[in-house]
Amino acid sequence: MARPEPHPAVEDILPRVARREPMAMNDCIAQFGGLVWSIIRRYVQPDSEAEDVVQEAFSELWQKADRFDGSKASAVTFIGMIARRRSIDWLRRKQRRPELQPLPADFDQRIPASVAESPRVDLESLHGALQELSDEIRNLLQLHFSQGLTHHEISEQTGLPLGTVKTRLRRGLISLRALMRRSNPPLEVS
Amino acid sequence: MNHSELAARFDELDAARALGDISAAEHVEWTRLVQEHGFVPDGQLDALVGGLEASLAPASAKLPPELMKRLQADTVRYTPLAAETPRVTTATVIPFWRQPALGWAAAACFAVVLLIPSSETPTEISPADQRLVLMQAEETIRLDFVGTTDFENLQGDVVWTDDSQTGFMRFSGLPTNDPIQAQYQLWIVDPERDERPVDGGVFDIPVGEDEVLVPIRAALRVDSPVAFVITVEQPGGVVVSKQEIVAAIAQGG
Repeated sequence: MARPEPHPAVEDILPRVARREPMAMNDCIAQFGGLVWSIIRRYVQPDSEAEDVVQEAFSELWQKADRFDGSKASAVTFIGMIARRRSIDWLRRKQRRPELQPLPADFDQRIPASVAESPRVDLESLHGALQELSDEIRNLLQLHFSQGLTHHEISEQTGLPLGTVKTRLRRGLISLRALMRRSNPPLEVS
Repeated sequence: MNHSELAARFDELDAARALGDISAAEHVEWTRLVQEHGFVPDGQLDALVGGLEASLAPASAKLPPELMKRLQADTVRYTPLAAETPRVTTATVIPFWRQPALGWAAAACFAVVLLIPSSETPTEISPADQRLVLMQAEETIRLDFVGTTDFENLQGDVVWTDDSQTGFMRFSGLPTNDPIQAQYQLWIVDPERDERPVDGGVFDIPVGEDEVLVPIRAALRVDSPVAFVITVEQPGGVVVSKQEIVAAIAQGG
């Protein structure tokens, strides 16, 4: 079941964290803790290690909250991005996924700056775009994101060659971006 | 390749970057396309990946109560006051949530320094942040402690890296001790070094503390630890343990 977009007031939590307001992090943990936990736990086991990664994710949120731009992405999207990055970093450390090669030290791990012509990514528009994808691509994305399966596991489950799984996930993401741009064209600036 | 073909290739590599599955060879290609052809990484791909994670996560997921308590206790770190508080040394055993910790960015600045030998390790960064930094290192090992019969309620783990000879233990449920009567002592088992375990230092569990973070002070260099053992010893510890009271063991699989 898709996660509903939270109440608009929730969208103010990250800006409050960025302004270093008292209790903002408490609200952030209370509101988004379950989401962060559910994402990280899909990739990180055992639970004791997942707990450490959750702590790291909230440390990163504290540091990067000022990069959140509500006009480009919803708060849950931003939080999902941080939680996934921490999970991927853990997988790299554990070398649990051979296809995840360690990146050079100078690789820019920062969240890239928002792209001016990109429409806002929120769960409602994303859900709409997902419905327009082919069944096969949508299924692959769900296996990867919803069940946390590795490329190898998806390959075994679907019978698709490993390289095909990897390529279709990448192209699925690119297709999703194209659908979002078509459905939510950016405002013209005169 | 013409420009549109290059653009299509960059899109695919940039999607791999956003998904976190870009290989080292692909990263070289991605960098070349950025530097030589002026392609720009697209933050919307990262946002889409984050959105997919959030969208497909179960809506009913909740933090485990114990983790919620830990995170809430951690929030003392997330205050402007904490960031300005004078730094503490790592020499004393202090519950990690009571540490006036530096922020993560400051900790990250010390990451390189922390990977040099421990004699040169700065003493001004909090143990909690040192532990976080240590856990980023690829070579760091992490093992869970298992309590023996009289210490069944113990939960904890140890993180250790050979390169910097640095490590931390984290405990909850380890009974408090009276330092006048007895102290806990860590032993690091490294069969490649010696049959006898290396003294990892003595420590206490103060009254009223639920969770304690303990820096490891290895007396000798350890290069291939296979186990970490906690014993109860006389005050000040011993040179060679008879291991009459073993409280907990953490060992690799």
